[in-house]
Amino acid sequence: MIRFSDICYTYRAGDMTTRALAGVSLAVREGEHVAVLGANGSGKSTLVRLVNGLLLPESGSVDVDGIDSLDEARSLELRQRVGVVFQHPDDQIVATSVEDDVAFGPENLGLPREEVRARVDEAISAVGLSGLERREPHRLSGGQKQRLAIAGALAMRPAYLVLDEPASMLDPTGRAEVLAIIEQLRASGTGVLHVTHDLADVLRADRAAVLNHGELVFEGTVNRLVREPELLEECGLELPALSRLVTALQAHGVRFQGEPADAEELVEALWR
Amino acid sequence: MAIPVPMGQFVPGDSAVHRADPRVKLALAFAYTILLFTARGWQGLLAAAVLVVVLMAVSSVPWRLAARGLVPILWLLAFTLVVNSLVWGSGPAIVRLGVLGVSGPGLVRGVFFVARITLLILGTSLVTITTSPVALTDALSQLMRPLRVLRVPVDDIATMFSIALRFIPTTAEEADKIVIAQTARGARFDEGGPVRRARAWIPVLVPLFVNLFRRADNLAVAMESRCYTGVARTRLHERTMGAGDWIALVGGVTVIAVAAILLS
Amino acid sequence: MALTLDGVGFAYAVPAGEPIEALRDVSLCVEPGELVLVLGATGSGKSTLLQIAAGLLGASSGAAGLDGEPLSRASARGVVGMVFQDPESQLFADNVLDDVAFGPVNLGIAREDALRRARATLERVGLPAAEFASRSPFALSGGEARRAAIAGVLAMSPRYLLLDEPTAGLDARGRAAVADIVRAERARCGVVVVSHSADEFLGEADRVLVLHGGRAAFEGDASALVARPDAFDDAGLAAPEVLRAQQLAAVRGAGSSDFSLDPEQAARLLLRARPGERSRERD
Repeated sequence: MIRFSDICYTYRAGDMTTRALAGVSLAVREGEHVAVLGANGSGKSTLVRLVNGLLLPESGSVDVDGIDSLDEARSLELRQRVGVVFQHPDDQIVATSVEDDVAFGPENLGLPREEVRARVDEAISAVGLSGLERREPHRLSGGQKQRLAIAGALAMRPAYLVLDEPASMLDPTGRAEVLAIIEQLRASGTGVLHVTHDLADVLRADRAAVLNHGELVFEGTVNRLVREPELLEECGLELPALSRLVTALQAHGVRFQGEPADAEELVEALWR
Repeated sequence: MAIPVPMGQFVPGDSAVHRADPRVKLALAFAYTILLFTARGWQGLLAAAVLVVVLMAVSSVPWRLAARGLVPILWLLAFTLVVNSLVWGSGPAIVRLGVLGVSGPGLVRGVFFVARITLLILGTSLVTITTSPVALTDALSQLMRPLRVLRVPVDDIATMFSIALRFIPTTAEEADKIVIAQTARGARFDEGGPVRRARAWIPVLVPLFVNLFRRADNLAVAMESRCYTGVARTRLHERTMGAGDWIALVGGVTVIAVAAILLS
Repeated sequence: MALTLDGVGFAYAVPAGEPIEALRDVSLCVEPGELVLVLGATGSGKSTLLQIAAGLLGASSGAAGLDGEPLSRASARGVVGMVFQDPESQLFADNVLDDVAFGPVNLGIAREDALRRARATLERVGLPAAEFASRSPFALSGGEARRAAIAGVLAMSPRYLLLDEPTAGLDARGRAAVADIVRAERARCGVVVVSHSADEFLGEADRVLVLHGGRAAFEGDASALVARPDAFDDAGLAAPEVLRAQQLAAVRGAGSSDFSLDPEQAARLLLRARPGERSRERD
């Protein structure tokens, strides 16, 4: 379990201080898909950097399967346990070919070459980039680059994957590719913490949390969150058009089981 | 306006030279350079020229491409020739133009030096034309490894080379984009004298560099997240020397050493 | 008074093989006061089209006109303003005001006037000069930087404004702010927005052009496109989810040809299409 306990973090630059997080507590269990939503400046990216010890909390603690982020001696272990994928695909790619980049993590762990090779092949196939092993990064599409970044994290065999706005820089095709992989991962038992400002990305999440100016103002199911338009508005989040359609249908007396995540699910539910 | 990407020298191929271990090629290029500068007289240059021609033929490198490597230094060649062959004032000369004269021995000396520089460039071009930039940096990293004993951060340096290579095309594309964007804002890059033209590039270079720093920050974060510590790294691809490589290395060095001794 | 592209094509040579046709026989026309939306997936030629409209690229075939004259880099200068993708990467000056004034200064406007224009433009994009004029452009947030970059183009007072994915990468507030700016500019400019997502501007576009593989897959009113959601699939685009739901309902045999982007209306249409509803209506 990833556990944030009453985290506080303040950025200091010269004489400017910005409070990024104030007393946030959140947990992600193994195999859970948790969404953290917030507008830019809500503190969600700070949360990502706290999870694997890139930043250390001012107060409160971050704990992953018993490893405290403050424990320097176990920081490598922590970073193996939690893989992180960031927003800008290009700024995560280090090597001159797909397979060399995926190998970066395992290489850093000093694993024997056969082990590195096995993990590289496994990760590349998990994200659907098989066949592109020798391709240079600048010849990949945005979606492919981001999938490469995910493969790089998967090659460490993490128990949890944290993604910081993974699809915000991508076109619709790339976005669909990345979201599909996240679904796959969740299905195979990896805990996912998905940080984003776009509700449409996380309609299938198990739980959602909303940050506003560093404070946790909502925690619950996506279903419930979607029924709170004033809260969303206040937090600078937009209700996806599909969800507005669902709300309109509900106003006409239609009952839905879960929250339809796309047009197919909605029509399916409607026709039942 | 396309910005030239300095990876253009490499021409993929399947010749024996292409397939040779890059470390061997680097070592032989080094030995070759020593030969060029220790061998006296024209026989040394002839020996070197023979080597170059034979290897070029074996690697099927197009002559034009190799010759293109000389273009940037044509000024140096011309300068060398002129400096060596011109004499000032009185003295033996085969041709005279007022105070200036061209001396016979001077001219011969100038041609010798020009030939030597040319052979140096052609010989080392052989390495860069037949070896990919990635293979070269890997080879350099491997060769540097003994320096670890002296506490030189060889792994960090190797990673730096690799990252620099990886970002060359990306940065070139970005520079292109910024040039077009500023052009759309009315910027002109072809007006005025050298100073004005240089200053016209500020709106391109500033954002480019700021972005590079941002990228570096993001990249560092991503690398740390993947447990990069700069030490104890295994490598997915590592070349080991085969029998052919050893033969090429030992044979090549021997031939060059013998030639150097005989001709010096 | 219009920016017109008539049967425009663009091809470029590749070292080994046939030239690649990025555009073939595409037409576009926009007058001040209009908003034209160009939709297309990556690789559809939409960015090439925009660059031709901005005079930055010359069309290989067809005609490009600007207010009755041929469109060229020279004639477009100062008349057609182009906002590129991720325009924040063009910010370079010591302070925001100087950056916004860069365009006008390049057009030969005296520095005093250029600064005055820059100040006014900053106000227009929601970046009050009092707060933002002396800030470094690199100290702006993503949304602020985007608006500063747009201001840099608006300060040149173009008659036509072309925007390539203006809301990409922004959060909801950022997108709303940019959409507001585009709406406001439409009053004085002819606006062309290129996007891979129909969500933002489809509702208010006068005309829509859908590009696929360099060709026009659809041209017409926004309402005509909404009535034909298949056009999205044909062009490799994802239709807005609300529209897709109605498409799927139509396939299920409801047979309705009324489509709406508005969730309220769409709900009513969907309910009418449901089998249960129809039998109830018959009774």
